[in-house]
Amino acid sequence: MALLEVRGLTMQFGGLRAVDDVDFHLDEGEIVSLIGPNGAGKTTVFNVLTGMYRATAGTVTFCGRPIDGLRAHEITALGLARTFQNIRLFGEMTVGDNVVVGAHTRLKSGLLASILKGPATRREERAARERAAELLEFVGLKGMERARARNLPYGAQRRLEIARALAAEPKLLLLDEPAAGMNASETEELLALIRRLKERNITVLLIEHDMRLVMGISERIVVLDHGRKIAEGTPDEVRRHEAVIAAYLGASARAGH
Amino acid sequence: MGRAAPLSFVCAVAHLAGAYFSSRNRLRGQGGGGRLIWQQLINGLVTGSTYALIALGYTMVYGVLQLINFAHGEIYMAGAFAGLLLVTAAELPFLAALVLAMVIAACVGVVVEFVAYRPLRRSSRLAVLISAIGMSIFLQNLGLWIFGPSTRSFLPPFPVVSFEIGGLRTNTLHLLTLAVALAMMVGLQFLVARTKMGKAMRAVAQDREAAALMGISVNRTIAFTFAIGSALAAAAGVMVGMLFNAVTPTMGIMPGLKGFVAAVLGGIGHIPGAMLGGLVLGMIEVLGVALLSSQWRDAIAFAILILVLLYRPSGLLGKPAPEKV
Amino acid sequence: MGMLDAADAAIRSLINPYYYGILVTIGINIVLALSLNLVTGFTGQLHLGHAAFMAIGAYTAGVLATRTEAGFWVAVASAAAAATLFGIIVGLPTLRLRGDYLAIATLGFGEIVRIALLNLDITGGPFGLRGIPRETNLPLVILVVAVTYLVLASLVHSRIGRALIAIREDEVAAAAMGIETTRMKVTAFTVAAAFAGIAGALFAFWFRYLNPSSFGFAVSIEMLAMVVLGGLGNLLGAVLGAAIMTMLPEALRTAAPAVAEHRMVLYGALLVVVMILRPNGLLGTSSEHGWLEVWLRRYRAAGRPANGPRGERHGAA
Repeated sequence: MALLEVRGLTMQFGGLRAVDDVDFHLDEGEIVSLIGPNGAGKTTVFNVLTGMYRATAGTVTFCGRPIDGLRAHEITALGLARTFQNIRLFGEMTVGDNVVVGAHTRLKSGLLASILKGPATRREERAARERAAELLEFVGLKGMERARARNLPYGAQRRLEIARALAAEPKLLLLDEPAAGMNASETEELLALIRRLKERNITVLLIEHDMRLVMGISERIVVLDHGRKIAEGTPDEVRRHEAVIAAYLGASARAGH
Repeated sequence: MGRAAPLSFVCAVAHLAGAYFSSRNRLRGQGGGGRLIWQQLINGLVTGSTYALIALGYTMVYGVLQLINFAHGEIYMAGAFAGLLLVTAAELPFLAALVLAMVIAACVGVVVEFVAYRPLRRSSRLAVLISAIGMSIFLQNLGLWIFGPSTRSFLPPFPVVSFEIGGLRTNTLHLLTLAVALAMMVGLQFLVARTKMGKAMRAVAQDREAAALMGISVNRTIAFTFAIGSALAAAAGVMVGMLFNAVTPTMGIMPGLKGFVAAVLGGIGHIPGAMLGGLVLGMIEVLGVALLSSQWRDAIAFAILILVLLYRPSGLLGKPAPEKV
Repeated sequence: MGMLDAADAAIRSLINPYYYGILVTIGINIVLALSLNLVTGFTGQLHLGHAAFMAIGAYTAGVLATRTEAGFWVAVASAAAAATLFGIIVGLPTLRLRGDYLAIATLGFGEIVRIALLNLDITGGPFGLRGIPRETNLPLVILVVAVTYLVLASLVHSRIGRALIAIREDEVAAAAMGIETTRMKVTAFTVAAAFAGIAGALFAFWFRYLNPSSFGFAVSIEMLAMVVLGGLGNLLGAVLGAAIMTMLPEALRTAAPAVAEHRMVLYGALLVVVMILRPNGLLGTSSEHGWLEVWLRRYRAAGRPANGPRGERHGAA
């Protein structure tokens, strides 16, 4: 059974169809990329999947249950977390707190427990802190808990976003241009990080413009153009696909090969 | 709710109010309730047209800055004082005083933008809102300091003639208010639709960054928007000052809030919406006063605001749009 | 209340009644500023009707004390309950809306409450409510201040508190992290309303006379100025802000009566200037630049298009 099943997804803004009748699916443990030129509708797909927008038409099934129409926090609780293209950290909070906020749906203490802080609440807090430290180490930010998120360098902010999303214990992680603005060695580290996610049994859906990263890591690629799916397949298939070359790879493919 | 909804809503309320009046008057043995309600609607139309003028400033500023300019009511007050002083102290003819008051208010609006909003263009929304409320409090109390708390009389510098049309009483001041409001709205439509500055305003409202890249001076466009909105508020202030024969430093609070309610009612950021919202609010208010009592007048506007925000946050004419992420 | 009474007797023997009264007022204002800070400072929602919740608490306590046999603690608990109830009623619909609409909606709510108090019979209308016994004393106020501070300090360092701060920092990202933003905002709003209700009850049992004009818009603005002065999202700052802004008019009243009378001019300017120069509050961390330089730098920034990953426009999306 597919982990995520998207059928006939359509998102209309006024007169503009940002996403037009798109189908695709993800199997458990896969790394799949969503590519396409600017304005192809990739981020809009993410926003619909995570409940930020309500789709105009189409269905989204996650772990066998329909999630279209659910609110963002409900979808996160079901095990679908994301990062943002234009980094959206909680800037004034510490790095550690950012990650612990990511675990919000996995923690239980309500209003009274939060105020009274009984032993159960304190145990939960301690466990959350330890797990945050572990996740920060996983993304390469060991020992940075006390720094203020806004003061981190750019690449570190991107990795913090990943740690924060992982704290939500997702089955499926949506990464929106995680390599944007990174230099070659940072991108290399990111590649290794995404591979290690697979070991943790996390399925990844990736939006990325860095073709080396996309081709190097994806098991399958879905290509969007003007809101429509124009191709889908392995990196090799997509690389040779005529519509893709025309729409997207055209210029760089001719220049590079 | 379609386009016809506001009108049918007003008609329904009018009908209810009419029924209430005729029953009450029948008890008194007078009759003629229908006429009374139409009389009220004329008053509502006049008040509503001043709300519409105020609402335009809110809506235009919201369009370009996504900011509720809390100080807008105080600019209206400043305009009323300017008009009063120009007519009484400087003894200018009415039209000259009106135009000059609008120019003065436009300057105040530009200064407010420059001092309180421009330095916060890149700050959080909360910071700008707090600055806006601070500016409002500052101007209002500065007015109290300078002019004192007492109400000043503002007699129209021209003879006001009352007359009847079809059994309904009105006067030249009412007609002048409607004429001024209408002229302003037509002028504004022309400005926004046809002039270069109007195009720049629309471009900045759509996408500030893109407009800047296209060579539009964003700072100048925003300042211009404040100037126009403030001038319209001043026109409303002068007319209301004469309608009620009263000008006070605190006169901007309620009309300022109601102008905002009117802007939201019509669909914030939507210029024809602000005009419609003002007129509808003015009508609903007089009908509400007729049904309840005048003490609840101000509560009615707020109740409308909260209902609109809950059930149709995009307003009567605005299109519902998902928030950009 | 035996211990409180003994403490009260001791305090009264040490300070004169004038300063005693000022200290009580400071305490009540601290509770109001602390609770408003939860909504505006920590959750980032501009709330312009806090005085209305204080009014609901004050009138609930006042009516119970004058018309029923209810004792002090019952009246205080009822005041908190009434304010909580109104907090939920007002908060649930309005907090679904974007932040700037909340400002107007709370302002409108504040006005409706004031108008209602003026026109209802049970509140005494414009003549006010008289004959409330004096039950509030300084040790009691100190106790309430301490409890408020401890509860809020504990709350902001918890799962709920982190969620509130996350909403302030970036509401979209907060929702994506699984935070039910509306519910969290209503929670903050309601907790704040409850404390404002308690502060209102203390106010009623101290001044013994209630009038709708004590709870107008200007009072909500004074509370906001206290929070902004001390620093948004800073609990100790709210305490200091409340203390300073209660004492300042008293000090000015004799030294410079004209300034004291028109202090709202200063408060208005204060809100603007603090937001531009010291958004963390006058008492917050100072910036390394001179104020003129900061101000000018902001003009230069206003002209430039946004750049970088996230500019400074957070919350503007």
